[in-house]
Amino acid sequence: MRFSVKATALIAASLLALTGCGVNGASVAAITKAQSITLDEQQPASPQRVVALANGSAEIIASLGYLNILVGRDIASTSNELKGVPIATAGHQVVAEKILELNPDVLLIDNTTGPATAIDVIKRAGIKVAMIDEAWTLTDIAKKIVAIGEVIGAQPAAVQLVQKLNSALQDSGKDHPGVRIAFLYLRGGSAIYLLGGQGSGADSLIEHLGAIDVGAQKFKQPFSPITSEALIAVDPEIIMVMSKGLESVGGIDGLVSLPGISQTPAGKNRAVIAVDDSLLLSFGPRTPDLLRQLSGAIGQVSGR
Amino acid sequence: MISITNLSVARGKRTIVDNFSATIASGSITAITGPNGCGKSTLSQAISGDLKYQSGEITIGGRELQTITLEEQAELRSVVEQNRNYWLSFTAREVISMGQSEADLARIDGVMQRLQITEYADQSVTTLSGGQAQRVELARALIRDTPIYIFDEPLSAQDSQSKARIIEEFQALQRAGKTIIVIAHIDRQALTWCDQIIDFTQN
Amino acid sequence: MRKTFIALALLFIASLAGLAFGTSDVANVWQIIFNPFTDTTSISHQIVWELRGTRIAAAILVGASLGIAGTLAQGSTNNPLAEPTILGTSAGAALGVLLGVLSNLVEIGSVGAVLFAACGALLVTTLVFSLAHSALSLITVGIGVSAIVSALVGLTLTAVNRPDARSISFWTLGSFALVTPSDLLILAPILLVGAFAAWKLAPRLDLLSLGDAAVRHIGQRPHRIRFQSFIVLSLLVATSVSLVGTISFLALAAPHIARYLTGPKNSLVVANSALIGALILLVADIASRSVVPPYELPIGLLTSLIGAPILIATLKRGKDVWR
Repeated sequence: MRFSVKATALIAASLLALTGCGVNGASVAAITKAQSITLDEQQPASPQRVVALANGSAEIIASLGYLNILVGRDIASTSNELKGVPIATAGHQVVAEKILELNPDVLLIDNTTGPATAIDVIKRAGIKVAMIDEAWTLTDIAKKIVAIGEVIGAQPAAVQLVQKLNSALQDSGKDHPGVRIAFLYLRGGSAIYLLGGQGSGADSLIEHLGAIDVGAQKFKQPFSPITSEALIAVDPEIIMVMSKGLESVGGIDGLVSLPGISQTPAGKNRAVIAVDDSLLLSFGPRTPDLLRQLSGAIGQVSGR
Repeated sequence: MISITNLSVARGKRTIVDNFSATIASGSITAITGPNGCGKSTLSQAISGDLKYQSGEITIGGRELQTITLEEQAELRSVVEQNRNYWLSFTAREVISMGQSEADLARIDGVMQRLQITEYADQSVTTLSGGQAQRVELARALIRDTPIYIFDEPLSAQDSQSKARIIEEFQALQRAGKTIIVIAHIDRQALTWCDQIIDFTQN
Repeated sequence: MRKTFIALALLFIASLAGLAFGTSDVANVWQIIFNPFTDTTSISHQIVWELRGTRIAAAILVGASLGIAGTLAQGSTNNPLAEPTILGTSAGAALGVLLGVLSNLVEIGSVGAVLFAACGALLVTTLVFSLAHSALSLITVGIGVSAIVSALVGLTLTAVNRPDARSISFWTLGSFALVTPSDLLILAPILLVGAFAAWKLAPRLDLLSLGDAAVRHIGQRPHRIRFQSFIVLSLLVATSVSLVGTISFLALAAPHIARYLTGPKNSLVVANSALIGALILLVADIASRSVVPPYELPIGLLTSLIGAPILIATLKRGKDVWR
């Protein structure tokens, strides 16, 4: 079996500087897409038809080289190679009929897939339902690939992909010691303003690059609604957000004028990194490239 | 002179006043009587200008009522309705004074005294008995100076002594040349103080 | 009068407390409070005046707006249960902004958006009132129409993929966390205009409490009084809804508490309801950001928690205020 690396050099830098103002050369960085680590197309093993609804599982199956057995995906799996695979959910909801119509051998779900009643119907119809653990850290990615590999009978490919992934993760290292980064989850207008803490997912990415997740330092739960004063107290140099969240508060200008943000070093220097919503916490084959881009972005906006 | 010719008033699909005619002379006290539910209040509301009518006409001094503006109507007549709904705890004096002109307010003490309101003038209207509240509404009309007064059931909640006092007020108005229309559910013998009694049921 | 002064004094004390207390311990906080114009660039000064000061001002302005809005809602409909969320005013405001944003005429948070919100609020409020034929049906119809309008807004938001419009769906949870000083520049003038207009309308609202016929009999037009009230009500509610979201209950409670303090005269109720609304919302906001530091608690829940016991106590003691 041969495999090749399609990744790396293909995308030069999807790292895009939106605005270049601010001090110390700091500016806003947007990361909109990342390249997957993939294997060549494989011959189907045991199951011939798979519907993958577990977060990121469709992406992993494609990377394992088994795109040909995928007959349905969830709405959040948006990468280009998956465009040809039909979406098997209605919004974020599972509709049993829609799944049965696709006549899969296996359905992959995780803890967030629901409603439970629809899953029960599918089980009673004799379809094998496999529960895949969610991945919220870099080390979880390998476990998730192995788990999916087992379900679709592709253990050797899984081992190969994990090896490639682990070596790709080594491409980015602890290059940003001491840089203080806050991951903010925001949805515009008025109400929601959450700081990422331990287990938000972003903490794993930030710490891999040697930087400090200031939220995770202080908060044990993944997300905390905090006051603007508390954000000033954690003193971030860089603020990381999801692209749609940034859009919803009126872009970078809206973000840095928010109370509590404008008073932090990150706000003053407009040191903001915006990452595509479905990419940031995907923890899958795109993550190594994301880390590489993130590392570049931190270097760019921190001015260190 | 108020003249009502072939008046028909409907509420929704139901005709309540059907082809009614009457003439009320200036400076007279006219009673319109009839049993409960015969449409007296509907008629009173039509004469007061509160209810549109479908056919016939009401003229006041030769002018069709529906062509007279709200402001002019207010100069022409004062009205006491049968229904009162006080939900705020204004005092009796405050309710009587609301929206009234300076000239009208000058009469307030005299009217309150004659209707025996003075003793509860500073009490909240939400705590008054039916009779007391009715006298407050009468006072709201009586301090106004208009050529015509329309009273819907003004005596219904009063004892005999209060009735006598209120009838005296009506007679005083008549002496001053005012036209008074009383809508009442009382028998003819009790209405000797009226110049004309129109039995609404016969129409 | 004395009670008004006590409320004013409490508002002043609460404002000082709001400047002094928060998530972070600011060194020499009183020195900073009493020297607002020295050393303005220090972080401590920014925390006290820019962050806390802005929130205090916003809470006072929004609280006063809602207090006045509640007085107008109850006075103009002769209904002690009327308030902006029941009359459809709040839902109408959301609908107005949504239409404005989707037609690309205005941006969220702008003065234009407030005007769109006010138009929507006025339209829905007027619709609710014209469909109702009694005090009870006003409440039922209001709840029904609000549900329809909110559902339309929700469905539209799900159907369109516009992150900026999506923030409207969070308007149901009011918050002062993201209020900026520039929001105050929209809030303050509208409150001033609204308060003055409400105060001018107040004597006619007194008269309206006797019923529409009583108003007509002395030559005034009840529908005109009511429509003017709706315009002011819509403007006040639209502004606070589009800047800090829906804060329910306050507009219902403040006028009742004010009537207990100063009696039913609407000119007094407008002033005191504004004061009570400001005081309750200010205390709730201080609590929301300093009771469990560093967490931000939902302001709507605290408003109910502080306002409801006061409302119940006043209604229990002031039996004859309304019935």
